[in-house]
Amino acid sequence: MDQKQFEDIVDKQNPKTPMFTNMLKAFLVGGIICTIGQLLVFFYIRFFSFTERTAANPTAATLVFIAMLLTGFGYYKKISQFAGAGSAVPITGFGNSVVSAAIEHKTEGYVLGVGGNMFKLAGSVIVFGVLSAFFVALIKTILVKIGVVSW
Amino acid sequence: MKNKWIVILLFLTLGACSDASERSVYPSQDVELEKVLDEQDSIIGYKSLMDDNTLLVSIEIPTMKRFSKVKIEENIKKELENQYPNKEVIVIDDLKVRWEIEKIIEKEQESKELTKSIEKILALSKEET
Amino acid sequence: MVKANGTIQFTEKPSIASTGVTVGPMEKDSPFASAFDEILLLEKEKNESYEEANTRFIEKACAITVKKGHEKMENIDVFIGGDLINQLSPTNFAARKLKIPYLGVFSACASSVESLIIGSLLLESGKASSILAGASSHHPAVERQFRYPLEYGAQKPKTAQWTVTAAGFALLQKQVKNAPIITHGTIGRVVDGKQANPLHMGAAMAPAARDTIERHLTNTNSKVSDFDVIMTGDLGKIGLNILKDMFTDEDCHVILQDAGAQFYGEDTFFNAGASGAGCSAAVFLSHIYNQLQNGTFKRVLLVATGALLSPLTFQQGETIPCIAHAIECRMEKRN
Repeated sequence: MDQKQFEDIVDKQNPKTPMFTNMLKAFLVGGIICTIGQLLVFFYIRFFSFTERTAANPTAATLVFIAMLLTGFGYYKKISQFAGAGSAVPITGFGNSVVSAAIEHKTEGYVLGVGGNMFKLAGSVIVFGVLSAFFVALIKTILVKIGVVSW
Repeated sequence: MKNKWIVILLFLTLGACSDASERSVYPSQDVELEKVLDEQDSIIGYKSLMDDNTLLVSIEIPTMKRFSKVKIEENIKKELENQYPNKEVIVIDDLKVRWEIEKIIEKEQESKELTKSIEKILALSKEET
Repeated sequence: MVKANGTIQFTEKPSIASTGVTVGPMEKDSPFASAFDEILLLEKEKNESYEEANTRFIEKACAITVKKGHEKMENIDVFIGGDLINQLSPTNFAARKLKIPYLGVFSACASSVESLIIGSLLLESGKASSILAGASSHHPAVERQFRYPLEYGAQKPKTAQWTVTAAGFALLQKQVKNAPIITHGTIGRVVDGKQANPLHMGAAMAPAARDTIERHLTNTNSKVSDFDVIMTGDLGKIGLNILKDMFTDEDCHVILQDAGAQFYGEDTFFNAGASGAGCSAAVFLSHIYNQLQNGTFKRVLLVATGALLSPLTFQQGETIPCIAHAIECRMEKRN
């Protein structure tokens, strides 16, 4: 049996990924998480002295806290199995990756285990996030200097 | 399984709720101010507070125009400064400012309290974090 | 002894005198649950790490095996074991407790049959008379090493498999009455089907299983229908279908079965089925062993399949080479 024949058999037996259903599920769950975030923004503006600009901070913190609780109690992975990217992309996904890694490595101690491994998955998010923020800011600075856009 | 869908639909319908945009001026019916603000077609609502020294206007910009929020705020500010040269004019599009002004209008505050409230709102809007 | 390209014929009748299988809580609803010796209710105790729990499962399975075989641990000549964790730590630490001369083996999920083949070779050579051989795996310990932290929300595709928490060990002795004997062993070759998806190991392991089965049939001059069952270790539901497609023999569809595909029944939570060194060990040494003992099966071929990848090779862009070791077991007429 040559490689091509084998690949054909594998393709035939592979279950088809239901793209549309997956996208719909991700959209719904991601949308719900963002709606909850928006409700939190309104909550913080209404009952505390945050403005639109500053309310993003406690909202993000609250969402990460919720994700932390769900991860700790084992519910987040069930939501994820259903939603896929819908739960991984919002900031709750970031919270989940940090907390799950922290829980996992407790057996290796707090400093090397938890501290050293906590950002195992989230590390690349931070690295590439900071890197792209740098480049975007650089491009905007250049454009402002030329006079194409303003701050 | 069925419960999940009901909750989802509930969220979707709630998301459609929103307040109607208001136009109000306080403390007095300042016709000129209202005329200037009504002429602006880039905003769909406004609430303003006037003091002896300050004019604080909170505007409501439609969602799609929010990209040019800063420009719109500056344009309106310039126009109002022409009309009220001896007052400090502040134009903001912010939900918190809008709600605070609404509260002040409802409470019908006068002179000194009004000044204090305006200063508080200004301090809030200058916060960065 | 006939040697033909990897197949070894055992003439001294190395027999499986007794077996011991311990499994974890997730495995309690398995169709094979009644055949398992002990189902532990917790994957780990309060002050343990998952690796230490794995060690405990191994120690328990070994104790059960030796007790059922009416033997004493001190009388065992060699302990052969394997698991999936780095440096075989769980089995090493279990061997620390057992204090028997120890050979640690690794061929990923094919470790169970690898240990049985090596054990049979030792018996065949006459240099040992009592061997304890088997393998184990532990779901949380394997997940954190090979994949993601347990609570991480990564969506698993339908081709993914669930590593079992199980330890299966056998007591091998020569010419035991009323016990299944190991007649042949075929040592696998590393076969690379150029599959690179660690979440679809069934497709990667199928070519290795096919290679070993074909060599075994050729070398023993048998056909598929000569066997009551040819059971692979953990190809999973999809991998098994791929393997069946790779054979042209019609008998394959009934006789070719997979321990991993049947391990959790029809529960879709486990996607394509079970995997792990403990999967083949647990099913071969409980269910299949019982069927051989009570005469339902007379001749079986047990093919444990293993994917020889590491988290590093996958990240480095390598494909997944696999291996499959096989043993043929027969039940002779009761004496």
